[in-house]
Amino acid sequence: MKSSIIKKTTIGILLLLSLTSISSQEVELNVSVTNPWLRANERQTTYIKIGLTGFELENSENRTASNIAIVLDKSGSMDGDKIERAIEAAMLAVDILGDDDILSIITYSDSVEVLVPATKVSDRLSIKRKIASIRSEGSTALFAGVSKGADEVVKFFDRNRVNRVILLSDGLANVGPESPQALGELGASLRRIGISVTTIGLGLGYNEDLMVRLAQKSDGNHAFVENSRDLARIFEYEFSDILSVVAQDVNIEIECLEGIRPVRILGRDADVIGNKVYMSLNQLYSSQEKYFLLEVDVDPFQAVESVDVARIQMSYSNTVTREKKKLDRMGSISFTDDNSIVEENIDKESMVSVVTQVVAEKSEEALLLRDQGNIIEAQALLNSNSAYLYEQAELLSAPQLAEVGEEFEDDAMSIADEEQWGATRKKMRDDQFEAQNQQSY
Amino acid sequence: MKKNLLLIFLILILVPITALAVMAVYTFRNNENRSREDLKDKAEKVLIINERLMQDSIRQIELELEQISFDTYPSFDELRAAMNRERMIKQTFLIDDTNNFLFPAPEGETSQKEREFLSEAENIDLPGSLNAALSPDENKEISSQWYTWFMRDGINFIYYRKVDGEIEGFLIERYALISRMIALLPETGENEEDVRIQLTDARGGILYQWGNYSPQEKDEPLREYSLSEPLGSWRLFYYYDEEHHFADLNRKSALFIIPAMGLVLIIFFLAYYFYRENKREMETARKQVSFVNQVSHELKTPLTNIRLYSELLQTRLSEPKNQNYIEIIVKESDRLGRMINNVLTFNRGERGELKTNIETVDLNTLIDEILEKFRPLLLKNSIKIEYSQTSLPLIETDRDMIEQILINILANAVKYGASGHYLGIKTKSNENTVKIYIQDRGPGISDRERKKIFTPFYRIDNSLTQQTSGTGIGLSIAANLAKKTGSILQLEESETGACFTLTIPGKREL
Repeated sequence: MKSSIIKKTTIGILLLLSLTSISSQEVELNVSVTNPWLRANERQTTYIKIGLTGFELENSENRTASNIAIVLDKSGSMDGDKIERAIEAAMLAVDILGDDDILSIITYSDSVEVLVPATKVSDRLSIKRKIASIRSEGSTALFAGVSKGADEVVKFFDRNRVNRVILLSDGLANVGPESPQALGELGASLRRIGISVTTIGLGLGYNEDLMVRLAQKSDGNHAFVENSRDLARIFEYEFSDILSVVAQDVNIEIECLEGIRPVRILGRDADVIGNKVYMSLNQLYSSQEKYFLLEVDVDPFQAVESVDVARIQMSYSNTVTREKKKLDRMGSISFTDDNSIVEENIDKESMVSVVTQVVAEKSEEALLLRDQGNIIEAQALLNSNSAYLYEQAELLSAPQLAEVGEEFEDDAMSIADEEQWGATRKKMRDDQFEAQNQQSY
Repeated sequence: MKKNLLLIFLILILVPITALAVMAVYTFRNNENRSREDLKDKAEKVLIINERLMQDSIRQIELELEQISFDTYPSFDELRAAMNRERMIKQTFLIDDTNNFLFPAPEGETSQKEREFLSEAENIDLPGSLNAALSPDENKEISSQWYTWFMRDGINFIYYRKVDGEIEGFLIERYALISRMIALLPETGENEEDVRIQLTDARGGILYQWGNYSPQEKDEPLREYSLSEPLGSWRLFYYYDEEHHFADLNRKSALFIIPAMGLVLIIFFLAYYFYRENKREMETARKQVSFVNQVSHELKTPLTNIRLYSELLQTRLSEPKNQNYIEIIVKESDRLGRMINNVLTFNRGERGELKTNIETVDLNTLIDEILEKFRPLLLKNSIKIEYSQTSLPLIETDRDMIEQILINILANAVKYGASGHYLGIKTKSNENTVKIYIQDRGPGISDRERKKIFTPFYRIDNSLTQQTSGTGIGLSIAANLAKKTGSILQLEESETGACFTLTIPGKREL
């Protein structure tokens, strides 16, 4: 009796709190330019950074219910520790999710089995019993597994839920479509209806290009789990992401104004059409920043202060208030003949983002060179990357860049090691993905 | 005789077993054939059902695409934005009546993706191809249809329609289509141990498969099915674990075989049992005979000596009382000698060792001699002999055998017909034969027993004979010897007692 009163009071207070802080329960849209001051009368290139930060989910009871399909590889290669850890991780998911969340579990080897059809996570015991029955055998029908998983999510698809497929695989897809491009297209088509696919690569046998592409095209997360011991931890990260979604169906349109031409978005997919750029995200997570860096060509301008160069419009669904929101910002640049003003006013924070994206691109190039067997050039590229990072760390007083620089130095060493190449490549792909998608883990 | 028995037993066993085997094989084959046909029917049904599922889904996609009207969107930007929310659409396009793209416009502002689409479309002259493929039936109001073409990485699907001379089209996201088909096709359930169904693309690559059976390389699909347009290049294959299935079927059939096998076993057992019993009996008999034979041989020598010395003694002793005793000894020795002779003859006959020794025989003399031998016995039983000699021709035959025949008949008459106190002997002769009649007035032999009296060891079992001793082979030997000498020994119809006749051929090459 007493406890129920306390509970009610608590809920009342929390409700009050959430009402009072409603003003802050919105996505932050920050537009900045790496060079707020540019030299006048000169054709040049700069970057506009559009940063999106999910508001803090103050009350976990307000979180968005999820609709999740866990797609587990149970092919023969999963035998032993891997399958046990996967079962353990799936059971962990059952515990993390609430009664209102929808979960389905799909296993695949030669063919696909919908082990647990989409259902509310209320009867945890029976779900776990089914999970415990998983045995490893056969080959890897990955495409079919994801398709069936997506189908289970589609069955209870709801814009007010976090709709997601979590794919765990340790091997090469060898039944059904198996190219990164095919899985990329599948991911892109799922993203269009608001379903993301998080891909978790386990061990050293999976195709990281395929797994990364599927995650990237569908706006999911990606993780390289070399040791199955870490699987449960990664599942926890993933579910803490899923349970902290605060905005969905995020669409951004950038219109470049007179004298400004959009070139490309660094590291992310976007449609550049004429002077407009279209981008989207399936979701934003609580207190996490995702950003787009738009490279623009700037025509010569006369020395003038604060010229509007781009109009940024953003729309999203607030999953807490369940309202559709629109935000509108302008980006502006000032022009001067004074070089020192240009140098002094560099926006260090957005510059760090640019450096991060540029080195990620270079890292991709290095990987391509290494794939072609050109180890020396790949190493040179990675080393120049880290030199660049050290220099920028100093310049931008950003020690985190130096850390990344050290990692590149390590990579440069590791890629020559033929035995380690499988692991190194997976790690590099994982790093690139995290940098490009600002993944939280 | 033994071989025949074995043969009969074999036939007894083999005939029912063969019949059963033939029936079993026929049933099995019939079952298999019927079952294979059933399986094929089932396979076809399953494939057709799944084909329909996919075609229904295609119709559904068509409906969804029909809902999208380009007119609804005030600008291409908004059309783009809307299409970015469509799972199945990779690219929309609009072609005017002069085969030029209005959207995406080659000269206008386009995205990277759109430029790639345009360059591909140009390569295959998409507008021209679509127009050429359009239904020639101009009257048809709705001319929505599918167009597919093969690119290096698979089939591309376009759904398009003609509206006021313009073509509105949708390039389908191929892998979204495949994924959608996979979603509606069955998953692998628990009850599909022996089935594998595969959906393959134009290049034979597996798009999707379900069922727990993993086909071996040698496996031929039980059924295959080509899908209809626009999925015309896709095929469905139905594999079946025939080995497992037929093993299962045979196991089931085996249940029916169990009683049959039981029957066979029973037949085997019975046949074997009877065969063994029979063999054992024969073996025992053979051993007994062999034993008797040996004993008889051993008895013969001392008996001869007894007889010899008795006769010697007879000539030396003159007292009538002693004479009488010696006569008894001689008489009994004779009787024993006859019995031993009979046993030896029988055994020789059984072994096929009887050989004839032909000489000229005077039957009258022979009969006299025999009667002389029997006189004491006849006297003792108060049997009156009626015998009238007639003149008989000399005949060529085995004297010993004829003698033994007659002795055996007489012994039989004394033994069984003594109650009549009469023995009549008659002889008759014609050109070729001599016939001897031996008649007693005993109880006689009934019709029922008539046929059996010549069988070895047969004795008429009644109160009268129960006290009678004997080996039971006398008549059998007589008949056997008669046959050997070409004579005929018969039991004649007689009003009282028994009447045997022996017909001896007069002259005969033996």
